[in-house]
Amino acid sequence: MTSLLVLTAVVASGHDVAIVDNRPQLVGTVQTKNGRGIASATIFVSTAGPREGIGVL
Amino acid sequence: MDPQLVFKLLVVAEGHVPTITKKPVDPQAGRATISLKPHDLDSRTDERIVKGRVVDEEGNAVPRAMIAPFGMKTGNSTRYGSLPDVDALVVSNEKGEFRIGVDKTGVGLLVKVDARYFARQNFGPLATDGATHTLTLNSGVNVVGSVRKNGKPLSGVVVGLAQQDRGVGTYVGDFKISTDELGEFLFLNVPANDRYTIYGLMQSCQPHGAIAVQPLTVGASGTTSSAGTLKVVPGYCLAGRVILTDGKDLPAGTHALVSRQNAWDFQTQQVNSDGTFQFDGLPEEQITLSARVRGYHISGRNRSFTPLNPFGLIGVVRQDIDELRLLLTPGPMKLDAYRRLSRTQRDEYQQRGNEPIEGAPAESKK
Repeated sequence: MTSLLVLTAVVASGHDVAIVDNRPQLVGTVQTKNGRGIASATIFVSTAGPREGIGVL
Repeated sequence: MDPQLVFKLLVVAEGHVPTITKKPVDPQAGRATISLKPHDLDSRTDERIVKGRVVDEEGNAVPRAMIAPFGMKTGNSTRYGSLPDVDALVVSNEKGEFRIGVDKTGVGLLVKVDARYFARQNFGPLATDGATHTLTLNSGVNVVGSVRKNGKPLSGVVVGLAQQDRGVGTYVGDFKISTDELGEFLFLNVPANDRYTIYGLMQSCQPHGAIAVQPLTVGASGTTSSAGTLKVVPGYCLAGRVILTDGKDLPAGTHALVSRQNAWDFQTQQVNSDGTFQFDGLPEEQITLSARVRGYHISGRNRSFTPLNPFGLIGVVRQDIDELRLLLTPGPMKLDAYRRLSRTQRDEYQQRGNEPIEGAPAESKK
């Protein structure tokens, strides 16, 4: 079961990984091969799996 | 994000190759950096591009529609699922236009189109022949209804809706919406002229009980269909143990899964170190129960095992189940065992799926 969830793109901001209610936020940068930030990128969660063990889906 | 999960991400940006991260991204590992390659669409010939335009029923452009290829037709055969030679997803521009890069010629793409204020729809096959394919979306159907328990409205319950036909070319994915303070719900932009099941999601209903699947047929685009009142009834418990037949301990992180056969809904949980698990809030329905351990498969000694679906046990929950024994045995799963079944055997296995779900019988004591 693959689902796509849109995340907010965070491009070249200076914040570290934030923790809200002890649940981590997924933060990152989208860039070119040369390291230049890409604006207006859309990020989807393609698949999710358990940190430990193998997924059951 | 769930701290127990890691994620593969799909990143899309104008002028760049849509990219799925090769390794899962761990939110707890700090900032992720994803690099995109420039796309070569401008230098390609038409034979390696699917071109199209997404419009509404009046022919107006639909910008920011997501176009996701899910199948590729080559000659008389069609491949579904992961398409390594095709852009994973593109987004239409302000004119509704899109281009999908395809590293093969003479093929047709099946695509799923999803845009805000419109019903999801599958199209195709779209040929790589230089033509600009026009994909027309409609607004779909509204579905209204309410959730009640003991005659009182229930707010904050998540209701699901899914097509009855799960054919890979037909299915567009499920829909979810929460009830409001009056216990009412409203689905917008549901694909028209189709048959659905509507149900309460187990995780959401658990504190109250369960809502079983109900059939629903919707009409033409622009109309509203009523699902009536969905009643919350007591849910059942399914508890048991995952057991390896060679007597070895289960590896850490082993998960069990319960999924509903006629709803797009499942529960998963990490089993305890002794293999025990417990799922609550199950409706009276046909379910599949499974667990995966590398190097093992579901044993045929489980009473609800069927070669027709070697991935799990299939059966119906009609009461609380306390001590189901789910046996896994060493060796690879036999995916093609169903081919050796006679028609009578297939019918028997089909019928077994309508009986109460059972694991393996307890070991006899000598």
